[in-house]
Amino acid sequence: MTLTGRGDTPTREVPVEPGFWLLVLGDMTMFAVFFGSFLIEQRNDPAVFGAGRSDLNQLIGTANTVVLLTGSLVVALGVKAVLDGRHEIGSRYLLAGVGCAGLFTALKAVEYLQKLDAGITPATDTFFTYYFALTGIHLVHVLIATGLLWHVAQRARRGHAVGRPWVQAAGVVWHAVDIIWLLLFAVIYLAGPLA
Amino acid sequence: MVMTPITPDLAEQSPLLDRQRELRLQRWCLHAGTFALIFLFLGFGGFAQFFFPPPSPGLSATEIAAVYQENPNGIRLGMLTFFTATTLWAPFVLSISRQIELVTGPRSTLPQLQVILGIGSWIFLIVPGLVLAAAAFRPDRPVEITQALHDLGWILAIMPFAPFTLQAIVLAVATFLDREGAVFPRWFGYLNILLGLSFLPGMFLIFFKDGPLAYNGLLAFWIPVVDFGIWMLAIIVVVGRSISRQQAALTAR
Amino acid sequence: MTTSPTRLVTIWAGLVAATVLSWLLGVEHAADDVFSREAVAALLVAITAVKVWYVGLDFMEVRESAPWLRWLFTAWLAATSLTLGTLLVV
Repeated sequence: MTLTGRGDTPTREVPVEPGFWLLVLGDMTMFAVFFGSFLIEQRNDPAVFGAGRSDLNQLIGTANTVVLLTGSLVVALGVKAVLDGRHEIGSRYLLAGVGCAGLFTALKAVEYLQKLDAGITPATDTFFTYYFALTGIHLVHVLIATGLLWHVAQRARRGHAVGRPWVQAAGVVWHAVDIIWLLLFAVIYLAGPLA
Repeated sequence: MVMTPITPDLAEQSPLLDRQRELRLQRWCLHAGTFALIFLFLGFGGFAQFFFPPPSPGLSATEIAAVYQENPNGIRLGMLTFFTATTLWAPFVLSISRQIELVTGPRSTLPQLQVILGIGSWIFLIVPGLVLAAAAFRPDRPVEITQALHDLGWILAIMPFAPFTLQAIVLAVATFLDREGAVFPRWFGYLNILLGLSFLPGMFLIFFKDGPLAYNGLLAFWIPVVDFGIWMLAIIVVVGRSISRQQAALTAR
Repeated sequence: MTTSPTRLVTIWAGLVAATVLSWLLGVEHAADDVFSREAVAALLVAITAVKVWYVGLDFMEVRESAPWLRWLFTAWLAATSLTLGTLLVV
């Protein structure tokens, strides 16, 4: 929290800058629209969606949720450390976050391969188009977030100055990706009809 | 014959009146974009009725042919309007490029890249309009042929959104290079990233006959089309304001 | 920064617990004798909303940022949860 402004009133900052939140909240809203569309389609064809959901690997889904949440923890600790000037430990936390992303991706790959092995593709039915498309777009977001974490961690580790907005941005993007996954997990995996 | 290009620095050396004329021309180029936006949506969605609802690739050839048999003149007029709009895309693209030049200087990479991408995306507005006009030309032909033309037109219209995405990325880069925000406000850079990337999922429409990734679906059609409209509006507002600021600076002298 | 590492770890533990609870409710049909699938769905959305709330406010540090951002995030979360919940249940 930065303390600026007149008198005793602290001015709270906005992480990175206001325009950045247009991107973050806009992206989260776009996913919300995707989920809404998914739910509308589900109402039209609960049998197909129920059958599809029953074929999902809920264990991996749950595990991946825990992986991303753990990633959020280490990323939050890492961002805090780097901003406090503790670059060595901060970068280690952030790299732990990268590790979580790697684990998430590996589990996701196993999940996809299981589906493809069973002959299930994005074109199988509407449920699986949504499943592959939404988890796929989310995965791309995970990779982008990972790239940001990696960039910040490397600069911190080498003792370079790391711009405050970049550190904050890396954290916010990661947490946005986590939030999107929490919603995705609930809507696609957990809730709704089962065959 | 040697053609002297009218670059900003050359205009700078000319009298004040030339500079004002240059800015007025730029504003007219931008207005072309406003009309382009209106005609694109009016033509495609309004006259041709392609928004209500967009025909699904899962429909049979007979059903697709019926779309053209039921509204041949609407579709013809719609595509004519759509095509007229695409002509106006050219000056619009140039008006954008002129603003990027204010940030990076004339004859530099970003403005010229934007122009090239603008021409590329121009093609993907003109050609589908003409193909769909041809589809509406003889509604009583064999239904498979109409379906083929319809598919071709829609694939041309919806699948190649990537040039637009790259244009948006160029604009985002230009925004972040403009550190004082003299030309492009910061939010505009972030908006370009958001909207530009939202155009991309549609390229997978080629694998699907139904669902959100089909050429009438949420991810391939609705989101890119709506975001495209918002994108054009944002550009019109931002470029318009920048031209106004320059005009005000001129008269203040 | 007011969110201490201890608090972050505590919240993390709560989030993981909520995740396991959600899995039990959603997949393992733990409550299917008591609740209908619709009620379970509503419960899952509510639990998820709380999880998103904590990730946003404490991990994303929205809690400590400017009021307009807190309001915007809260409004976004409320609108999204209500919309998705309604589509699931009604």
